[in-house]
Amino acid sequence: MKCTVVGKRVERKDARAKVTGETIYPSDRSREGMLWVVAVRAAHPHARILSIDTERAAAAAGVVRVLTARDVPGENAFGIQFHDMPVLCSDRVRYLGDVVALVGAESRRAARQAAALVAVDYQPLALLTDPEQALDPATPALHPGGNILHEVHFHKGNISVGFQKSAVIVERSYQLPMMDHAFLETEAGLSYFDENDVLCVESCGQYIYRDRKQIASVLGLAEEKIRVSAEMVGGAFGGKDDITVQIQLALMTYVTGRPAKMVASREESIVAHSKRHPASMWFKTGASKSGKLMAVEARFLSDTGAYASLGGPVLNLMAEHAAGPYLVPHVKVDGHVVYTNNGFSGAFRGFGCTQACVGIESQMDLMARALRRDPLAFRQANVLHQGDAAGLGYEMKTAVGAEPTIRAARAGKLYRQRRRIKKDRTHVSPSLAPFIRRGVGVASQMQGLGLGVGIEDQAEVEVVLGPGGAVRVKVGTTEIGQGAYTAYAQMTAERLGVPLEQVEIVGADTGTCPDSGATTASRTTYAVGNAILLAIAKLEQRRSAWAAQGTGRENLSARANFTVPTQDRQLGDGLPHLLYSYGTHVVLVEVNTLTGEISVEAVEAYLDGGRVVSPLGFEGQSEGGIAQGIGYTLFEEVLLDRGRFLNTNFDTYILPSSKDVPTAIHTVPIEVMEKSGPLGAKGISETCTVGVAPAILNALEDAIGIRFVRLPVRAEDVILAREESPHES
Amino acid sequence: MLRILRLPALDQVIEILSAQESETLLMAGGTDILPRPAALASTRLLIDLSQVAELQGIALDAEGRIRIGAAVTHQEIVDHPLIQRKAQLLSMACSSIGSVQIRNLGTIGGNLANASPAADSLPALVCLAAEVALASPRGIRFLPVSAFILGPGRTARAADELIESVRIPVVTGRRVAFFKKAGQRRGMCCAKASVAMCAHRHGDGRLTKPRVAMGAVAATVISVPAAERVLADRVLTMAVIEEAAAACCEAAQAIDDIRSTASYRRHVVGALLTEGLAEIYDHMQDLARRQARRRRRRS
Amino acid sequence: MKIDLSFTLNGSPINTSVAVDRRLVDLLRDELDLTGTKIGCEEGECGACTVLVDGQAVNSCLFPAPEVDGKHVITIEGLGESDNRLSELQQAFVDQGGIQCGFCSPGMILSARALLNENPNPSQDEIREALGGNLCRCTGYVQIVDSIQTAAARENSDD
Repeated sequence: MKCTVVGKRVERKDARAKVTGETIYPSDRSREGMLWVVAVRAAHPHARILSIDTERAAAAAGVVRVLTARDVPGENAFGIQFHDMPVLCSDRVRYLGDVVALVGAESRRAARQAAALVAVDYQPLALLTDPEQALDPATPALHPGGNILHEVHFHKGNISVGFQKSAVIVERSYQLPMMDHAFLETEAGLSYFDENDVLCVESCGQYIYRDRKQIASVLGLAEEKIRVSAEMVGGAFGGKDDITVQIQLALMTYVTGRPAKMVASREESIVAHSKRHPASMWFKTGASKSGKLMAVEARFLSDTGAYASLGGPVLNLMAEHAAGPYLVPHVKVDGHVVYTNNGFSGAFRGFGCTQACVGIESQMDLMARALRRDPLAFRQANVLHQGDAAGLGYEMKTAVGAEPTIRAARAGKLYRQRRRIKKDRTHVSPSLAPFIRRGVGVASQMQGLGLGVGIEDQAEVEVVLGPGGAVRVKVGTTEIGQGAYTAYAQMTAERLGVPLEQVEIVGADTGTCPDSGATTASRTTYAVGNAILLAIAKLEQRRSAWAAQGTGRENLSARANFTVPTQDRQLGDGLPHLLYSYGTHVVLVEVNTLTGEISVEAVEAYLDGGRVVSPLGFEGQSEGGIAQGIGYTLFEEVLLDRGRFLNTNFDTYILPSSKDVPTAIHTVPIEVMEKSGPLGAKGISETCTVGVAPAILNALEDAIGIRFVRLPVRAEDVILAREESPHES
Repeated sequence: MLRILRLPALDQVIEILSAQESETLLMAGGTDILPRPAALASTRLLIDLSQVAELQGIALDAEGRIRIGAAVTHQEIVDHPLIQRKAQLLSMACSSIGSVQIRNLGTIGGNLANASPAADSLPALVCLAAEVALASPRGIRFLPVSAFILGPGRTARAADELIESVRIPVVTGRRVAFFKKAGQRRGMCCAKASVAMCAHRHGDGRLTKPRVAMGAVAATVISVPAAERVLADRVLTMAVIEEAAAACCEAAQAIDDIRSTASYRRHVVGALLTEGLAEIYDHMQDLARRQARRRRRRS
Repeated sequence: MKIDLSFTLNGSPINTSVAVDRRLVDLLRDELDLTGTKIGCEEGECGACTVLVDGQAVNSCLFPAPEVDGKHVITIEGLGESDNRLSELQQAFVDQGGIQCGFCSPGMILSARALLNENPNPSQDEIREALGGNLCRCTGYVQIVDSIQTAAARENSDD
């Protein structure tokens, strides 16, 4: 199909307002008479609350109200999957982000000062910070159901037969860090009662309808009495999928009747919001002499911290993606996700695939090395095709783009010319050349799209045709920077045959927009796009019916609902998926063996997310995903000491800067059209980051002969490993 | 109640300081003070030094030393032709402080007063034999930087003294210098360890009067006489470099902290010295080759 | 204690008073309602609050509000051309995809403005150096650097 708007390098719908400073973000909102709200958070990572004394705080200058658990009118708990997080803790705190009181004051300063005056008497409880210890039934439980949130046990074929048939068997353990989303805008929002007595919360969530439902149950209000919006947000990456400030704001406004505003400090943000699950993984994999994958065995121990959030589904996706995009006859996967007092973890771009991919793609390289095979050829020889049985045994029913991405990567410049590129030392002073080592590494990945089997995954939209050809599309998903609104507008313009400028996206307000589902799981281009096309089809049907009757109407609107299709067999919450995006990354790293410093010098990304709707956005997502992958591999780790956070701002939590991401990033779309996708599209917002870490690890082994199994890999680790390694390459 | 005084003249500042009012905080660029609301909360009087005329400017003083006013920003130092010509090492070091935005605000006096072991300007100042000029009702006294810095956040400044300027003796002749820093990333970062070096370069490949100093590997910036002895009056070779690097590793008294480990810091100062000197070695080889070519052409 | 201030903001004179311990970013956002200047870390690490003071890029979270007296301040709101047109620099960010969530963009664009004022023809490395104090979590910086190079080329061809 030929497209005229889709696939073109168009201007983002929101770009103009963002370069002029006109865009209003949650932290920019304010309202006459508003209170500033500051949360009083736990002073201990695990403690019993003996008493809370708010008297001095309430009497402090400028303070209007101090709220505690007693002020919660409805259910004092919330959570995406289980309502296990207290809104305001009354008897126990389980991590430092737990909230015991909310101070509402006339100024932020007054609220902060008063927050320090809330006196809480704690009795510290034994800390649970070691996930292994959480597995021990003798360890005191953090939650009524015990310390194991969820476990998985899957097998396909017979794993011992798989290893018997293997000529090469590789076994390694991997340690993955807790990672912060580090969205540039911290959690923020504004709440108020409008003239109709509806409680409005203008905030930063990734799913306004789920936020509304949770606020309603906490306040004991009907959902219709609450309006939640989150149109433009300063980054999220999954970190704003869990409720952050929404309930706290709503509660303050509900109790005081006054508008309320909250903006988390960076320290508070790093302590309070969810993280990427830290995990330990063990992999044992085998391949035959002829280079056929025979067996993948994996064990995972994931740490969800103090609350469930999406710890179960994240573990499920780790299991689903444990065997990578490969055909493996014998698979065994076991995993646990446990509670600890280590912050809490939840959704983060990649959602378990990120972790699993580090394991399987490291193993693939180790096996290729042992078999003396070309690492991409080895992958290509074992890759999944449509109709094959996936790692957990179900059939890959939709288009599989893994092989084309590998093929394209093999033909790419970096891979073909890697021997020459690795030898290049022209950029360093001659006497230092012997200390510089370069390596090229690859990784392939797949990433489930949508929420998976067993979780409602629908998108409803409304398309309104206005006077003069203006088109308004009302969607419930949030523009968190990913560029989805532009993609929606392009698909709308394409299908209606109108100029892009005539399409306006009205976003993310329960008061005006239908429920389009969550802004997660690489799902929005696919799910919302399909709903838009369905709505347009309805409109056109009506239009032609009217035309046949000879009547015309200017204002015309249609709603449509699209349900993301799933596999018919369910293996767990959100498990498995029917649709996947695919990718292969090729990375060039340079190691300075004097200082141990590692730099990523070039990356090629071959990504299949079906048809590319917005090339500029596609490349931007890919480059940003690569930067986050570099951060995960080389810099980022939330450090905890006995439940306390050690690095709570950007001077110690290190993000890649402009000098740490290479200029030489080349993103190549591999457009394997998805029949069920809108104009053939799927999504790439996660797959673009998932393979980066293992590709860097593989490049490091290529460069200096050392296999790193713990992230992040810092200069310290390079020097230490070289000192310990007996045969330096 | 916090008061702020924005004073235009040095003697006014000194007068206030000598009144010994408690909980007084001196602020120039503010980059180390504003991120710490707690520091401000316990302050009664904030003296803003940014407008004090005598604390501005880069020029030669009466004794022919370079005088850098205490309120001169890092960026002014980086860009100033006199510094680039006569104290290039300081320009190199200051260019690695923070970001452009920080360098436009932060000052040399503030970097000294804050006395962070990881401050990038300090190893350069030590190598350049810089002195801190301290003004008080008793007049001005001069202290070498190494004597001024006593420990993390601790200096020899008396409560009634103000850092007036930094003075750097001007040295003539062909010089070589480098500032190298190991950080947590390539972009804006705090040093895990840093090494500064300067020396005289001679046509026969010798270095004389070498000065080597290191940051973030001890409670204060430290100079490395052992490395200087290795380098002094010797023709620079990779073997000499290796020996000097070992002396740096030996001299480091590093600790573990959130940014790095003691063992890495000890290792990396040697690596940084090696990098810097190897580049100088290659540069000198290059010069010698070019000179030889020129001589051949002439003959 | 409040202190009286007179300064120029985006070309217009401002007379106001501000508490002595306020930062420039507070003055801009809370008192003057210019929310284009963002807050990301409050310690000069992220650069979201970057503004120009007397032509130089500074972190407005590290800049004491009282010190703005007598100075010229430019924020993102003051960067456009008259009649609501975008400046070349802003337009280049729009054209080259230098924007995703947009929260770093005002600071990023002002850092770029300061760079181009000093150096109308910066290299890739010079751009990356100048942006060292501006973190972006979305773009991976490539399209931002492209935007600035595009702007430089367009500005130079206009002359």
